[in-house]
Amino acid sequence: MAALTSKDEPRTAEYAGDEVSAIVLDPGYASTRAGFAGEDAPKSIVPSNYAFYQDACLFGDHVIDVPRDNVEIRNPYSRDGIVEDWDTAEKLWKYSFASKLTGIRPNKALQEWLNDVNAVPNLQKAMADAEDTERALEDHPLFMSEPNWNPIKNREKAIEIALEKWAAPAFYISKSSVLSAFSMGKSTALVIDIGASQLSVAAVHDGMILRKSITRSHLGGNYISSQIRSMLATHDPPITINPHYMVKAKQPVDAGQPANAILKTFDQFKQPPQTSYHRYQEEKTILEFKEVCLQTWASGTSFRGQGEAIAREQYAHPFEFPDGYNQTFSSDRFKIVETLFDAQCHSPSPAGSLDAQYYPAPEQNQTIPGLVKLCINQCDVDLRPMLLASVVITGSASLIKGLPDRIQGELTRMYPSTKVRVNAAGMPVERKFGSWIGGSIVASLGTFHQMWISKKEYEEHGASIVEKRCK
Amino acid sequence: MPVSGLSVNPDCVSAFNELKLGRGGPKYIIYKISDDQKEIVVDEIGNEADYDVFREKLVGKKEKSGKDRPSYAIYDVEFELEGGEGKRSKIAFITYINQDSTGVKSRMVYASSRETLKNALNGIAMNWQANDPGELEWADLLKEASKGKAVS
Repeated sequence: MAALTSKDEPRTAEYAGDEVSAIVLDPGYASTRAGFAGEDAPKSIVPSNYAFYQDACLFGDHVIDVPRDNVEIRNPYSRDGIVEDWDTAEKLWKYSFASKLTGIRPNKALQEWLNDVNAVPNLQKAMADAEDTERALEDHPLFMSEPNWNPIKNREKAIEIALEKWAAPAFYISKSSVLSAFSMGKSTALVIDIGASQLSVAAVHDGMILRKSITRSHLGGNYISSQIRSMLATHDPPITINPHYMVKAKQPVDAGQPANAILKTFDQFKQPPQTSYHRYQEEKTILEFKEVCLQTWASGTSFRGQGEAIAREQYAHPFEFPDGYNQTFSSDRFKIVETLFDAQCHSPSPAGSLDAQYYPAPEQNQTIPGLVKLCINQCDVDLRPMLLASVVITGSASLIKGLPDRIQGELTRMYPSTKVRVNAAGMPVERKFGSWIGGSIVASLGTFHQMWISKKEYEEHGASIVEKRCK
Repeated sequence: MPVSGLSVNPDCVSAFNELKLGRGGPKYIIYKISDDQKEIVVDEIGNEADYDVFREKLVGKKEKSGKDRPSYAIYDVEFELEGGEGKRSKIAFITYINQDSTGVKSRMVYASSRETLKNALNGIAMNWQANDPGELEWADLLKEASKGKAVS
C-alpha cells in the first residue's frame, strides 16, 4: 500500500475490498505497539507501564515520567506477560491507537452539547450518545498478536472488546512466534523470543505453532535488569542509581570517585512518588546500561573461571550514571548475560527484596540451552533437524551484543551431528517489532479479507469462533 | 495460522499434474506471486535435466526493486538406489526465500502463502525449505529424498 501524502484524502474503509486500513496491535509487557497495516514500523509505541495518580490511569511516555504527588507505576500484565487487569489493558490499548492513529471520533455528545448545558436534550439520550466515543475502531479492522501461551479466555476477551466495545468491523489474532518466523521467510522454525517478562522457545511447523513444544521461563529482559541491580548492590563500594528525574545539577568526577551532584527534593509533594515510580525511572538507566555495556561471552572458552579472568583484564567498559558517577565494568558485564546460558552465574538479589521474590535463581533447564532442549524433545524426531536448521531469534532483549552468535555456538555444541543455523534479523527494528511488522504485511494484503472474523460471524457464533478461525 | 488468503491460479495445478505424469513432461516448475499480490501463478516451466540450471534460475530471480525474489518450486528429484535396486523419483516442493537479500514484505507474503499452494498440489513427496543459496545443494536434496540410500 502506498504511503499517504498530505495531499491524499484518507481512504474510507472498504473491509471487503482492497483498501483495508486495518490497525495492527502488538501488546507486550514492556511496550504496546500499534500502527496502520501496510506500514514499515508501528507509529505508536506506548510503554505498557502506566501512572496511577489520584485514582486515574495516565498513559504515554511524556506523562508517566513526570514525578507527581504519591504517583504509582503499574502494569496491567502479570509477569507471565498475559493480561491480568482487563479494564486497564483495554484503556491502554485504546490509548495506543486512539491517541496517535485514529483520533477521537467526533460524536453528537461532543459536537452539540459539550459547552452548553441547556442544550442537553435529555440526560439518558445524552449518555447514550456519549457512549459513542467507545466505538473507537468503527472504521478499522483490528489485527492483534498474542503470546504463544495466551489462554483461550483471553483471546475471547480480546475479540469481545474489539468487536463490541470498539465496534471494529472485523478481527484477527495471531501467535507472535508464527509472525516472527514468517517475517524471516520461514514457515518451519524454532523461535527463541526474548521479551521483557518472558524467555520463550516454540516450534513452528508449516505455519502452525506446536502447542506442546512451547517452553518458557522468567529469564527475559526484566530478569537481566534484576541481575544488573544485584550486581550494582554488591559492587564495592555499592552503587545506587539516582535516576535522571532526581538530578538537579552535577559536576564531572573522575572514574570511581563519589558523585558530585545536587539531588532534587520533593518537599512540594505531600507524599513523594512511590517506590514503583522510582524503580521505573531506575529501569531507564538500567536499559542504557544494557545497551552500552552488556555483552555475551563468545563461545569457545567457558566463562566461569577462565573467561572471567580474561574478561577482568581485557574487556573493561566505562559507564556513567545520571548523577555523574562513573565506573568501568569488566567481567560483570559478561556474567550478567552468561546467566541466560549457565544458571550458576546467577547472582542472588538481596534477601527480601522485590527482585528476590520476582526473579529467583533459575534452574539450568530454564536457560536458553535448557529451554531449547525441552522444546526439541517435545517435537517429532523427523522434524528436529528442520527446526535446528532454522532457528529464529527475536525480541528486544536479544539485541545484547553477541547473543545470536553465542546461541549458534551453544546449539552446535549440543547437537553436533545436526546442522544448526541461527538467524536473527540484522536490523534492530525488525527484531524489536518482528511480530508487528509481520502482522502489518499480512493484514494489508487485499486477499486477507477472507481471513478476518467479521462482526456478523461473531454475532452468529459468539466469541468461541476465535479458537476455530485463528489457529 | 495467518495465511495470506491468496488464491492459486488453475495453471499451477495443471502444470503440476503434467509433471507428475512424467514421460518427457516438465522437469521443474517455478511459481511466483503475481505482481498484484492476489494469486500464485506459474513463473517458468523447464525441461533441463541439469539441476544446476534450475538452481541458477531460482537464485537469480529478481523483484522490480532489484532485490531477490523468493520462489516456490516443484522439482522432480531422480536418483538411483544403491545395490542396483533401480531408479526412483520424488517430487519435491521447494520454498526458496533468501533471507539476507529479500525485503521483509516479500518474505512475509511468500512464507504465509506457502501452505495454500502446497495444499493445492496433490502428490508432493517431500518439502524443502531453503533460506539461502547454500541450502539448495543437490547433495542435501538427494540425501533427504532418498533417505541416504542413493548412489547418484
